[in-house]
Amino acid sequence: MKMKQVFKDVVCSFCGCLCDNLEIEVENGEIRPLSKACTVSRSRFVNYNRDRVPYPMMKINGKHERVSLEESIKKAAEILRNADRPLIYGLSSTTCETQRKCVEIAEKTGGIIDQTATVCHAPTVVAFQETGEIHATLGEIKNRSDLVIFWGCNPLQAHLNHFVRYSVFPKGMYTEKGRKERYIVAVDVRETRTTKLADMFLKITPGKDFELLSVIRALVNGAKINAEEVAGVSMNKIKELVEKMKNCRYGVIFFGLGLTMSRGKHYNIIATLNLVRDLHKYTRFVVIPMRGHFNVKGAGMVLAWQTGYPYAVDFTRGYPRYNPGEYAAVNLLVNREVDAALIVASDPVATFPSPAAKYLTQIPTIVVDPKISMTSLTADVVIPCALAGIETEGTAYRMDGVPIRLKKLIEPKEGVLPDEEIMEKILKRI
Amino acid sequence: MKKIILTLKKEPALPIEAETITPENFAGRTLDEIKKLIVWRGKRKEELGDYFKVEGEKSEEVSETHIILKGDLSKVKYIGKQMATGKITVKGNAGMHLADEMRGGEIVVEGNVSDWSATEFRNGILRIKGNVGNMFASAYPGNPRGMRGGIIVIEGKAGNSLARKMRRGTIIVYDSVGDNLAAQMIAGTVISLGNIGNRPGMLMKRGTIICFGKIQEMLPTFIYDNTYSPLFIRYYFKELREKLNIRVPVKVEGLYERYHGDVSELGKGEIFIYKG
Repeated sequence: MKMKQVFKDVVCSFCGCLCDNLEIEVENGEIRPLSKACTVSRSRFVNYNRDRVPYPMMKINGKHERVSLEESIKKAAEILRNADRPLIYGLSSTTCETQRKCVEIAEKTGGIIDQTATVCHAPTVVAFQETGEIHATLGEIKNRSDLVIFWGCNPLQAHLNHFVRYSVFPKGMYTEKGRKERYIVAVDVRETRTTKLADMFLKITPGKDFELLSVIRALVNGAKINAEEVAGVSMNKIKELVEKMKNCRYGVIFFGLGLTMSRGKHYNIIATLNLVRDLHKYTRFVVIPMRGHFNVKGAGMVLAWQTGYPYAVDFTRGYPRYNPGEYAAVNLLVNREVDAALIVASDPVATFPSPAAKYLTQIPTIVVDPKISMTSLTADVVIPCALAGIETEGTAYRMDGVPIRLKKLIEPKEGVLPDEEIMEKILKRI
Repeated sequence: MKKIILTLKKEPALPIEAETITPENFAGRTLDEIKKLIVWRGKRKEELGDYFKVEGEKSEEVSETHIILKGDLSKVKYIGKQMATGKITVKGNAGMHLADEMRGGEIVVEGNVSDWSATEFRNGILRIKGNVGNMFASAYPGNPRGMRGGIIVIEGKAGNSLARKMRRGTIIVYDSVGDNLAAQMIAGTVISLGNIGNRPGMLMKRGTIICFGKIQEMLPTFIYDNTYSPLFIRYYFKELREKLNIRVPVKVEGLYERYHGDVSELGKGEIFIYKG
């Protein structure tokens, strides 16, 4: 592509915010964001061609060697066909169309499919199933919210445009004064940029989220608590927060990994969801998890509508079974219960606990990923694919469950296929 | 009782799912027929005889069937799934989902038991001489109720999330218990002779936890009531001893601190801590 092209309303495929208002310029195979992209998004677009998997590779005598795409796909299908219990893992950084194909592969090979939520927001998913979710879109937060609580998350450093586009600064239909009209509360174990910007900051003892949440909930329900301080926060401050919660017009709790991955895990989220439910005696309140990867919400959605379960789904009997403590990727690898793996757009060797990562390097592994990762360095078959949202289009779900269509900006390198097509080819070979 | 002895030939590399190991499936079948029962290794269907040496005598009545399993069965899942009568003895460790949805009869395990065992236990007696893993006697994710009846005696330690969403029944643990004991409990009784980890009874509605050791950390949503000697505890242990022959090695007479909670939920649960 020689000429200069400008794309408007481009969707950024990095974090769960899925900002869809970017202006991008493409010239001579280079991408330059013109406006509204955050620093992370800018870096993703500018460096899209860095650290790419150069060609399909296979491990021959312990070394990666270049092979044709056909050969690599044949080998991948062979590994999956011969395995007794293959694991299909990843999914969060690719499109819904690819995820759907992965479910098909899992069903056909009698394997187990799991997505990256298993190491981040899985407790959220489990808790939603237990208690239900009182939900809103980010647009509703922009237009209505006057009390915003950030619990265990730091959007100013992780979801950079979240404050500007949805939660703190934007002026909406019923929030004409923007930031001035909103009361911001941050709950965290340490000071961060987000907590510095907040009107109220509750610094809590690490791992004590559940205690604080259940005391807030007890107070909302009118119970009496004798303690003077809970989780390092004085009772007066907690009571002040409870009053703010009861008297706001439209409140929202955003929570991140600080809550899902600290002690208590899904019980923390159950407590949060129950609190939001109980607050409806007084006012309108919603809760939104801060999802990380751009389509991790979509992975849950696709798995749920295809199999009935959001993650950790086992197809070994031919029908879907669900049990997070047993079929989740980390459990399977630590207990050595799988004998092959297909890793799609993720890097478990770098992110999993060491016994799990170690076992993954010992079993036949196939990686389908646009970029080089720790997992691709140890895999038996590595197949490069086009980058979702830049070199191929598709559908992704924003953190609040709104599906957004990703745009194609540039042609992928010759011979590099979108991962959806690669999955289709593997599926045919199985 | 007619004994059927299964000896594990070698430990399988991948876990096998053997829900066919129940008195219901074994009764009325000859040893050769038992060998042909199906077990699953991943997606492959295999036969029980591939993994076990089968000996003993044919049993006609289900209630007269006694299955004895020998070897390290920590990779054998679903032993005694939904069994309603008869007896199983495991002379060694047992894998996940032991006594899954068990409805009656008796299971005795002489070794340790893995995670997710006795899930949604309904009735019968389960005795474990070793330790048990996490999520023992709990509910499957998404299901509203966990253990619904029966008696479980654990002579070793118990892991985290024991008796999650328990609805009815009794669990006695001789040693210590992990975190989140009886989380979201609806009713029932859990007795621990050892120490209890963090947050026992979190989100509990009703039910009773009796602790003869120390509780590492109580939730602030449990309110202290008073210290007294509740009569029912003595009767409870007497009943266990006389009717079920379960002799709990502990002195029950004395004073107990009573807490009620979880006040963020219904708040009708109670925790008793023995003070001597």
